[in-house]
Amino acid sequence: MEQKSKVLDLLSSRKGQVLVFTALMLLVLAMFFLVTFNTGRMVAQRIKMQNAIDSAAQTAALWQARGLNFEGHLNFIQESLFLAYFPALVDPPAAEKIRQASIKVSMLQEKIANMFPGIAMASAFMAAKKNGLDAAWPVNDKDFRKALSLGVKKTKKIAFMENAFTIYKLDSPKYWSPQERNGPFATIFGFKKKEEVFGLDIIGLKNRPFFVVASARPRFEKGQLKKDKVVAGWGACLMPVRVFNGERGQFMGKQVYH
Amino acid sequence: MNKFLKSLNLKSYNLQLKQSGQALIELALVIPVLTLMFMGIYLIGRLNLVQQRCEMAVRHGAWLKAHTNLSHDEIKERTGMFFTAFEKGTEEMLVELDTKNSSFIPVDLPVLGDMLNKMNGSYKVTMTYGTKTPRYFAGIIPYSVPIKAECSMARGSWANIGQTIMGFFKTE
Repeated sequence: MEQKSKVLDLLSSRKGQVLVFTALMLLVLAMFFLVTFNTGRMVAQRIKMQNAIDSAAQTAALWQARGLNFEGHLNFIQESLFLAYFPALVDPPAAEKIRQASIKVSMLQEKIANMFPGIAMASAFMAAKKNGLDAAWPVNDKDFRKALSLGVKKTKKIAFMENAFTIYKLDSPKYWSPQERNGPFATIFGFKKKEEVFGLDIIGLKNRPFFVVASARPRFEKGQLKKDKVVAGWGACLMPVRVFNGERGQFMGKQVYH
Repeated sequence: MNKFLKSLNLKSYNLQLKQSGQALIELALVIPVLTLMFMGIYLIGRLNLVQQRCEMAVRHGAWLKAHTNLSHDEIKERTGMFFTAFEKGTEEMLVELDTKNSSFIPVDLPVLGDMLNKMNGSYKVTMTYGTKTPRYFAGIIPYSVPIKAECSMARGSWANIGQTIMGFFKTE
């Protein structure tokens, strides 16, 4: 009888009830607390990464724009030399001098068309790294020379002269983007491992890298775009993210992520 | 009435009488912890907000540096406008040419990194925002929590690049 009453006492007593509940509540609250904290940090990191990749894409497009500006200026020089060439044929040594100068300018033009994608890639990578990303690479092509190409094509003023009096113009079907038909662009994607998570990892934030992507393009800012030659006057601007298959020359799709 | 109930010797009523103060004491024990916790959630949320706002402000500052000819004071003023909704903290803004070495070069070549940075024209905007925590937390958490953010962006124009190059190669 006594035993039974003891059991009944234990069952019916409310000693320690609030404490137990509070302990449980505190656990749950602590979890919420950490989730809030971690989520906030992740959001901040995400913003930072988006800034970084925007900066990288902008830098790549900026170098493309600089390359196009160089090509534009050199085109102008080539045209001037071309205009001076035929009157100078009266005096062959002078004409030969002009041709030699034109050959040098042609070499410079070719170097710029070949080198600037590489500089664009290096600068974009640098910008991404500086702003805290782990790595960055163009989306459109594994080969950055294709992905960040200036999208220019060599044309000749005089048919039989291969490397003199060359004019560079935008290579429309291959590299011109269908949107706005304004020339080449850079789509760059980057990733970074997440920061450390405090406490329990409930939502699975840990060990999953964030991916971010951004697009930018050189924009022609000085008047109407000319189709027969590149003219100086390019700047860089960000734009909605675009994915483009450079090899097939087909437009794969566009998405706006932010 | 009480006497009458006691005389009935009801078990449950006796227990209730015994425990009448216990819940209150337990509550008194728990309330400080709970208060701290809720306040902490509020504070951390606010700090996160300020952090995010800092990132946005710094990005805006870097964009202004990259695309406009505004002076550093004007940039500071404009980025400070991001914080008008909050109580004013002690913000410090720094706009400088980025001198951090580019990390994709395997060898540590500060000269080359510096040259690349200058050719690239990348500017870094750094911000330190001292958030002010409520005074009644004095002693528990620091009164001013510094929040740092930085963003570097390449400048569009190549203005003064000639001077930069001449300075680099030390020619006149």
